[in-house]
Amino acid sequence: MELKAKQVLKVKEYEFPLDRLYYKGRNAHLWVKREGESVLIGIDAFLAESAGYLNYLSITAEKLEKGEAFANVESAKFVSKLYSPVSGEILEINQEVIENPRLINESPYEAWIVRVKPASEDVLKQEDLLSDREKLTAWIEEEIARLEEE
Amino acid sequence: MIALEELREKPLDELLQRAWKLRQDNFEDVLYVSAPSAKRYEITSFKNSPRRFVNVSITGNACTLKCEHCQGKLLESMHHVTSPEELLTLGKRLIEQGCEGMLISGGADSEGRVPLRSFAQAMKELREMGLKVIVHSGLVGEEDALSLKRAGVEQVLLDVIGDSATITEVYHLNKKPADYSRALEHLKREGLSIAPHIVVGLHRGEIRGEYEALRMITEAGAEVIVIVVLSPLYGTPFEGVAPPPPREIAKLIAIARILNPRAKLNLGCAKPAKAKAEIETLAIDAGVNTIAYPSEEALRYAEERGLELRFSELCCTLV
Repeated sequence: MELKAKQVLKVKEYEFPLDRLYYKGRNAHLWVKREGESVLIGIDAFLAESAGYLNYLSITAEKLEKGEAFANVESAKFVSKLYSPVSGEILEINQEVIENPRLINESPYEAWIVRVKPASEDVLKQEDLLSDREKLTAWIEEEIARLEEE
Repeated sequence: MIALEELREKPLDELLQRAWKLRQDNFEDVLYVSAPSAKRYEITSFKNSPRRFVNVSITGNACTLKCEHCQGKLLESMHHVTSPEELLTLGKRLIEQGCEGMLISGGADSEGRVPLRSFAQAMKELREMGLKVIVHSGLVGEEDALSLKRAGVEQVLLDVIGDSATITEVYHLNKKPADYSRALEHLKREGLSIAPHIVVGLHRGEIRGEYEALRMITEAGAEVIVIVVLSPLYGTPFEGVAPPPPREIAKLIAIARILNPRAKLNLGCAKPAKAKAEIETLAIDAGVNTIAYPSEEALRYAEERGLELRFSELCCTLV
């Protein structure tokens, strides 16, 4: 379902649909979206854009622990890990995205990586999971400044 | 010299055993990990800095050759300058931010040369400020080599191509492998340290001129040899090209080690991401000294083989 413009936060050229949470911890730049009993996890537009075209993605964990690495990701200018925004059990891995990580660059909010059963309801109520316009804007502006400095 | 063609007939496992033995005989049990700032690199035990050792293009995004595998895309993520004054300004700013060195590169002209000569004085000044300066030269003539010598660059990196068809069809250049040999000679004659690179699979993923390039490099007597692997880039004519099989790459690396037992042998930054861990573990078996941006699987394997890991943020040729 397409969101209305007012439901999408825009910070400079980066868009953040407000139907999900954004993980600020470890500057992970992952989003979490509830879908029924499970949540989907993907990469936000800031990371998708700043990393460049992704050419490799692999899931390295069987179970997610908040703040711990669960995937390896690579592009021409980026070799790093993804840090989980929640603890929980991996229910499904999006094989299409594993096969073609570039889908994340093309459509970061459609190309989810894993579907997870959260360990508890509380895992989504954490301060480092942002959905508030003001807090999200402040964090992304900090991140843009950091990127420009680099 | 051991006949290269004879070695090519040998099975890979035999070559790997010989290569590993030579590594043990000639080097300490260390695998160096190189992670300069061209890529953000973060693994469990190490994270690099965005400014410690940077890549600079002196032509911005411009490149006359627009080689099939790159089309100038590799220049996009570098720092861009277009004049010696801009290079000095950038250098001063980066030093203040903790930069220790630069790889100065750029697009090539129609003769396959990166136009470094007009930047020689600026490079010399950067060296005097304490920066390590290495260059990616493209083809060089006598004057170019002399100018690099006067600039005091620490090292010259050059992709060596051993097949005429690859030079014309992939690099769009009207040159021959002998021109690359001559470039190596000019650089050696000036006493410059050379770090020739072989791009495995450069001819649309085929192994074609790589062994000839290795022969030329071995003859020139390089202190450092860097093997990189074709990594097809999105938006280039090579997008979708299959890189060579990891065991073919390992064979070339093992033969490079056997022919150059005392040269530093590195697996450089370009590697196809999907086969990266396999290529890297085979490269360890084949006796490489340094790997750029390695996978954690490869690091675990190196330790299993008894190698101590040492991390550096310098370009792999300087480690």
